[in-house]
Amino acid sequence: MNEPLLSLVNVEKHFTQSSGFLRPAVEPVRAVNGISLMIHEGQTTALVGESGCGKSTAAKLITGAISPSAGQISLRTRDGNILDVDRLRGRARKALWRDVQLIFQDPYSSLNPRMTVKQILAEPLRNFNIARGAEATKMVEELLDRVGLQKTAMNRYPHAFSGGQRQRIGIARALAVQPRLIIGDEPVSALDVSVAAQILNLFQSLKQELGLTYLLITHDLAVVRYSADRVAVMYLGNIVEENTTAELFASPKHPYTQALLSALPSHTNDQKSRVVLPGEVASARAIPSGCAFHPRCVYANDLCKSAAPILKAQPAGGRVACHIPLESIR
Amino acid sequence: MKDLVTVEDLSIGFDLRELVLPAVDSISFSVGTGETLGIVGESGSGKSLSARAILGLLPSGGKTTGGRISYQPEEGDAITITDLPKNGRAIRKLRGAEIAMIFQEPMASLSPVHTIGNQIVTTLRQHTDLNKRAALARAIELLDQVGMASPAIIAEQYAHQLSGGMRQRAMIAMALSCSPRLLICDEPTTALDATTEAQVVDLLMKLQQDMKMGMIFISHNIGLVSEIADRVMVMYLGQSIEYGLAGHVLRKPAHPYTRALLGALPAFAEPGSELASLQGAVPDLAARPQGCTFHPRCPEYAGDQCKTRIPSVHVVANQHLARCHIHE
Repeated sequence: MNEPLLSLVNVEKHFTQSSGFLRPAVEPVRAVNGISLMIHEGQTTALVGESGCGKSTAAKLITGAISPSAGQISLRTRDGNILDVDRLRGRARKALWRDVQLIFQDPYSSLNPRMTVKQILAEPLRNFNIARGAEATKMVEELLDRVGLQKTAMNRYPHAFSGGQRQRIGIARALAVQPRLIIGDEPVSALDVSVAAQILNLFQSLKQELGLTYLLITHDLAVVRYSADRVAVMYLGNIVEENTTAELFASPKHPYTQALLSALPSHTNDQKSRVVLPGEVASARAIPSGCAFHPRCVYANDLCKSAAPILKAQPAGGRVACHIPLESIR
Repeated sequence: MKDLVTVEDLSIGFDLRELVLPAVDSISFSVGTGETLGIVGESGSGKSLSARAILGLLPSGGKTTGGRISYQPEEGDAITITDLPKNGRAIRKLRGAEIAMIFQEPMASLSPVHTIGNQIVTTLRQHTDLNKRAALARAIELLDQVGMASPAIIAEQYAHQLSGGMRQRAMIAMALSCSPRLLICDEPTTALDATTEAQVVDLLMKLQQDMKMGMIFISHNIGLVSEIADRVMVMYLGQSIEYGLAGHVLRKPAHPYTRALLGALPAFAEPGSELASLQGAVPDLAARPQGCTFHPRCPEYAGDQCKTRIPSVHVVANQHLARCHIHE
């Protein structure tokens, strides 16, 4: 396979709190604990996990909004150069944002209420010297058309739109700079079922028309199964399993993946067995020793308590971080 | 089996001075002992309002404009809840004791300035004659029953000290404190993570079986409802558009809206295929379409009658009702 568009190598992000007089030192929040991931052009990669697993921190690291504590994030540019995302400053960093754009969860708070849709969409065009004046207006019209909104939307303010329409505006804004990678941070979780379906369909058709690459960050496995090519499952700052979507859903190797999948609804069987995990996700300040998942894992043995498993390639494809991957049990 | 709660032709409206905005339009359903009714719909469909009306807990401005809700106590005659004075003694006696409710956002429903134990004790003392010490012991017992690892410590903690899943368990403990006969769950797991949701759903189903409660489970997640409910009511813009046994409604949906709702779910779709999305969004209550309220978005639009005539309820199969012209 060709060079990945984006690669993360052993990326860590620990949030420390400064200690001082009357302020005792506290354990750092280890949000991301050395993840390695490749994102290939034209594919949709999903990063799944529950709240606090570090998936949104990973997105912020990729956009350069925060710097990693360790590890390297590199992006392959249009002309084949490899950029180290964390080293970019000034103009070079702006070049990163032409390639990588974000779509946010909450369409209500991610649009400026005092700007018209035209202003919202023309701003990136101006900032990146793509178009101005009449040319910009024409591009705004094209963008609106592309995301399925009327031209008349241009002179209205965000409050005049429904949640689904606002999410379309957010998508149009991300598309304005013709990015190659779009990171969607829970892009449909705030929307009603029928509206979420419209947005997912829009993502699908944009991917085909524009050859976009997506990184989809979500907790919703149904959305993942439907739209992703590859999936990485995160638990407490680590990727515990990574595989093609079809393989991962057909035969999960990590007990945590198995538990997550069992929560998916299905048409066919009425009484299916939900895997109910004991206990709760530990705090990212106090990650359990060994395998971070061991206190909730029914298969855990002494090795799991002491040694952290590494994300290893499996003979049948995919990578799993588990001492006793599920196939060896079955 | 006797029905615990019977709702007949219930309508709810919001008083906007110039007009009454209809939010729920003559819905009927019933829930029996040990039975679960699932109410499904998108935002603004009136599913929460319908359930809250049972407790007499309509938001300000909301009032029942028609129909009746009756509750059958363990002994004696049925009580007509819709006739009881608002926040009067009679409804307060039912609320919490006979009919309890748990909400989507536990942080908003728990008091931030009282310990968990204290809040359960207050409920217990309101409805039973337990003394303080016995009530606290019972509170700890309840926290244990909902699967808290160290109930005595949790009882002394405040809501902000607990995680989302634990708060929801605390709220369930509080709702169960007086052994209600009917439990109303309004999107109880929507704010929770997948594995926590699994724990809470598991707990609710177990408790329902143990206590033989009737349950109303409100959710926008039709997949989750299909696992839990015996019967399902699908709502759209304040109307019940389909009602029947969960298996029938989900496997053989009779209303185009239910079909579309199921088709729009990525969980049931072939990966990469186009999702059967509906046109547009749920209209505003103030701009409720003429005729069938669903006709502007309906993929199976059946002609002028949909625009002009409100469809009546048709029996499509045994205990399976749908409100659509295609069944005429």
